[in-house]
Amino acid sequence: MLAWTSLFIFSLLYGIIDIFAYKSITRTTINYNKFQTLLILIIYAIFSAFVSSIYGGIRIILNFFLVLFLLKTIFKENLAKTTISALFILLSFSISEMIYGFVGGIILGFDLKELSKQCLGIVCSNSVIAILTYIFYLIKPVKKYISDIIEWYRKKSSFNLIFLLLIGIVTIFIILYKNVYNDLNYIEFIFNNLFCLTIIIFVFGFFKEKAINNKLAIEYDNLLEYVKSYEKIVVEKSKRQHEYKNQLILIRGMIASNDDDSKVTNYIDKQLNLEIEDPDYQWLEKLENIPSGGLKGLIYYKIAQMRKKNIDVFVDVSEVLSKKELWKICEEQLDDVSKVIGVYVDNAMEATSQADLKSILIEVDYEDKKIKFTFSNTYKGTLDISKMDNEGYTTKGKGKGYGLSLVKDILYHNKLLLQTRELNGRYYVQKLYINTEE
Amino acid sequence: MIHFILCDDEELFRKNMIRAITKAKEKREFKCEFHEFEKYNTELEQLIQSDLSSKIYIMDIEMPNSISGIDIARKIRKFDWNSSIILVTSHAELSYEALKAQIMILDFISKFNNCELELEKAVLKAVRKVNQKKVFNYSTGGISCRIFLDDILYIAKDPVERKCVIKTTYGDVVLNKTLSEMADELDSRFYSSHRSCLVNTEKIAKVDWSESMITFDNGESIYLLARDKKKGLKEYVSVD
Repeated sequence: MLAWTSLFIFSLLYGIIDIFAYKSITRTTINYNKFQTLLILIIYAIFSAFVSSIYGGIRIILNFFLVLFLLKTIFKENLAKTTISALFILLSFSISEMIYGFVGGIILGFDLKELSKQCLGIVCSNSVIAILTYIFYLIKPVKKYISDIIEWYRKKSSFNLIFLLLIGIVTIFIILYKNVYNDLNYIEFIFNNLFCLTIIIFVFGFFKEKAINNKLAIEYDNLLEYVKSYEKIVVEKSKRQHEYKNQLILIRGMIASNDDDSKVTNYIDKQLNLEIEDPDYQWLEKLENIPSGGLKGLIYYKIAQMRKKNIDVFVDVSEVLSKKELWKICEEQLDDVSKVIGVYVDNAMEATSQADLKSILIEVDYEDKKIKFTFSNTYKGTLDISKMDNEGYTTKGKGKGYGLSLVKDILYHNKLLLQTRELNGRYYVQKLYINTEE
Repeated sequence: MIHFILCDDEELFRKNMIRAITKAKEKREFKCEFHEFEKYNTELEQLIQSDLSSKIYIMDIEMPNSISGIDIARKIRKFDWNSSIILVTSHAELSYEALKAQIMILDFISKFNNCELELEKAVLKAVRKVNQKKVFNYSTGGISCRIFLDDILYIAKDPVERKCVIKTTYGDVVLNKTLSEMADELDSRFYSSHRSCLVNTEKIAKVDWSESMITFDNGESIYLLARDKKKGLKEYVSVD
């Protein structure tokens, strides 16, 4: 009975720490019913005490589901968010357990195995672990680190990652379990803990990297959204301006043909000249027919780079491509299409920057059920087109010349994509056809 | 007979075009026929694909109910590199230079800047080029290549191999052809100034007759002018 009581007490303590940790890392503020919360905590503690009496890896998995139950019923938040939070809370408990094992077992020389057999020992040991976990969640950078990961995961929940994390945690706990219940010497103990630490660092590092990528993706989406709204304004403005100018030209023509009222024509000419458009926005208007997404973002970005390098850019997207369904294939093949276009544009920029006339044309058209991207650029020197697909062929110097070889590989595996090239006067022309029918 | 193909959604602008052509006709006599279109349609498509010789296209870039003049120009260039294309635009401040060089647009005319007069000048230029071949095509390694004759300065025979070097305004192109084979592919503006050289007479800036030196628009000079070829060359260029 005493043993059960001690298990119940530390389970209750763990439950409270779980709630505190969840609130810290998710920044959740809820008006919870005190009685209901207490009831859930007691139910959790009863089951947790029972689970704690089980030995082996299954204990960790059952414990995870109990923590999940506790957090989900109290906070009533998104399951993905609660799941990933529960896993991280378990992970933090394992860190505390490691610290406790190292300090208590190695530095202070306690017999941890013996302590785990005594009721007071169980309560004291687990209280120390709970306090360490509590302190862990008081550290601001740690809180921010974990909450970033949870925020990323909430937006991109994936079962595989939960599975991966769960396996990691089970492994850690099994090793820690060995620390306590097997008679390990110091060296084995330290190696055990170092191994655990490596897994923990890996798990945190992995999730942090994903979270950073997500942050970038959000920033990109925001930027694209901004450009999209800006594009609408420019297009609308341009349409109105075109109409307005046409009217003025007509009036001017009529006046000029009837009598020579130069005062009026001069005035109109002055008005027309006031409305000078910024050439940099020409491409912005033209890209309207490419649906928003990765590809449009890539082309926007590359054109902005060209403008920075003072390259004369001409962009034209056929009106036929205003039908969004034609672009479906590009979304499906985005990975390959964006890689190929990236290589083409980078090559075009490098080649044209060496030429006397720095000029690039990007044209997108639809013919024979294929989307056709045409990239034309000026260049300097002599091109040997037949050798261009060979790895290492370059006119740009050492370490370059792998782009088109990469494209060749992509096109070899992706039969929906086809490339052709030609020399058209002073322009090297690279075409990419994307078959819209599989 | 020169066929002027005019495409603009505004009737008034089409009339302006006809007026400019009529004025050009007064300065340089030629027979012509007008084909007016307010947008791209099957009739225009057929005309583009027809075998009619001597076509000059004058088109508006922005046509609200049609594909743009640029798109039509691209369609023309799929079949025909010898007709002249003049595009009229109300976005004259935008840079069309790249496109001009790529699909061989003779001129871009602004609707705001003395449109009729500029159009007249462009028409005269186009008429002068009516019987000229515009493009030299060849292929290497299964890849088609095109050189605009306007870009060629001169073609010189390789002294050692059975090759010739085409010197253009932007670089050199080496071809496995003899000079006489090349001459067959060119038009009357090219003159054989030497047994190992064909010069583009329209690109000559200056000739030093005593030194037998020909200087081109880009400043490049060659000493490939044979004594017996001087008289012939004098018919192309003004004598200093």
